Amino acid sequence: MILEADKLCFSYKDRPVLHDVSLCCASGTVLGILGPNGSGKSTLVKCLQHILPPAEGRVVLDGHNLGHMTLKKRALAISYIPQSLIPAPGLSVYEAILLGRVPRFRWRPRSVDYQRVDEIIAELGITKLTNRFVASLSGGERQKVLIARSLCRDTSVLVFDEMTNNLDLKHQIEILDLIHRKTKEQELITVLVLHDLNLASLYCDSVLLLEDGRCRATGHPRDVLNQEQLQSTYGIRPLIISHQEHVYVLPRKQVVI
Amino acid sequence: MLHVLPAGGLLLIASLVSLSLGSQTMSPPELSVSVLRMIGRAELDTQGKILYHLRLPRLFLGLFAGAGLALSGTAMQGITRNPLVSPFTLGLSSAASFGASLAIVFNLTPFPGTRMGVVATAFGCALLCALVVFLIAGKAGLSPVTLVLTGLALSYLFSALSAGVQFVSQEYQLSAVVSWTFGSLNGAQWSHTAIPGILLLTALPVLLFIAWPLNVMHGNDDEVAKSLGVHPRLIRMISGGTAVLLTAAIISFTGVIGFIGLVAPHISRMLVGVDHRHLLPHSAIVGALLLVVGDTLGRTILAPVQIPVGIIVSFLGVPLFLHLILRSGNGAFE
Repeated sequence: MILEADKLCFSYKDRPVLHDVSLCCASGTVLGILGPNGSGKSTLVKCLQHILPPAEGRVVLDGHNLGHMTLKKRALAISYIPQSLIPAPGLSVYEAILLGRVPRFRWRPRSVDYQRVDEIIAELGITKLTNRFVASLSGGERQKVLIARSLCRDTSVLVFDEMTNNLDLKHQIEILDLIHRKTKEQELITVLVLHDLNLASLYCDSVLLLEDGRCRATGHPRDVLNQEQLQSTYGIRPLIISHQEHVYVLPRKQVVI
Repeated sequence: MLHVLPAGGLLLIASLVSLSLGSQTMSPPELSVSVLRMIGRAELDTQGKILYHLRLPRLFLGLFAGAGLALSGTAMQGITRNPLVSPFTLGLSSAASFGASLAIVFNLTPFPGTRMGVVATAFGCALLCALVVFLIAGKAGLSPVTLVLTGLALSYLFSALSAGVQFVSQEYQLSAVVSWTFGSLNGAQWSHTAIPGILLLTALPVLLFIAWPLNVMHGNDDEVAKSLGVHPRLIRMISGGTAVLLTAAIISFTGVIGFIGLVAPHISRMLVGVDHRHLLPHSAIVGALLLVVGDTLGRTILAPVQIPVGIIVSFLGVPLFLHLILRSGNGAFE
């Protein structure tokens, strides 16, 4: 299965945000969307599920144009989790995860829906949380609930917008380990919007670097995260170190006093 | 279903107490005999007549009105994600008051000089207001904020129109308009219960059918709703439309009973959580309970004077609501 976006363009009223952005991602791989603040990362992933319908270009999943699908069909094809989302604060964890099955049932959940939620909860090891209210969870636990909600939808594409923001390093790694493992195990297509270039280098099979709504570079993290690209995109000169097939980007002071 | 049993039990007790209290108090055996005679279509004695012609229609109108207003409030708060919203946020109460003023002061109604005339004009104005709100807010994307702000603007407009009508009215007409706006179940007849009853029994299954989309919309913004395959605009139209019809029909018969639609959903949310599958029926029962208890107190504590139920409900509901806020700590909406 392949997810392809072909020359996507999008504008908020008169302000163009995306210009001819194309991407391609295959089953069992993780694609990282990188770029400075305001470069159009979130807009791009919203265009992938047509939450923001692109003005031009198309998104194709396994030969089917998402623009020609109904809202429900798109919800069954791509699971998108926006940034800073608290998964339904007033609901219990179990109910918040069950919301992920909404596109799959008509007016009330069937036994297969409950069964799938039970499976995912057991798989992610969050059984202890199920009766707690979402509002009482820590940041890392909330993200796990969101991942569980995404996985129980049984879509072939997962899209997460800045999942690891506001998490400490341990939880960032725990969450990305989990997403990476599920992507490989279940042959999913995963698109991650990330700010942390090192995490992108560790977990992504390919990355797309955006600058002012345009694709600046795309390819393996090792090829994209180099001195020249980062200087022209972010305007900084970091130290770049290679270690065991991964590159690490270390920030350096720009002004030395 | 288990969630609604305690509140349902209280409602049953409150209803029986309401039927037995009044100018002529009836003991439980007397109440049972009268009800059995009614069921057996036997000739009714004085107590039976009081029960059949006065207390039963009043009780049923109270049950339907309380449940309907609470249900509408729950639906409106769900689709706007706003804890301050009530069924009257879209301007319905001001519009219905304007309609009632037109009927009372100028006799501008299809049935001049009758109570049904006031009902029809109040209902028509409330629906007109809701239609205008939905049309204008729809042009601006039908987001929660546009819906609430447009409703607020229309509410001020209709309040000004009502005030204009009242300004040119005679004193006795003004008194009739003011007492209509208090909200009361005085003079309830069987014919008044049919329309609110039918609409309530239609609205409940409709809203329960979209309980899951309402759950999605309650805690998430429109983008998340869309990502889960829920049409926010469609759900807002169905839910808002149902709430508007139900509220307009109820307040046309009872006058403006304001507090229930705001507070009953909050009380239920604190007791059974935010899952609309449980919240909708529970808040309907809490609304009915508040109204029936309020009305029973209103017509008995200073008998023979009947205090309008709208006033009593606020006296009852505010302390209960404040107690629950203090107990739950984080307010009603989380």
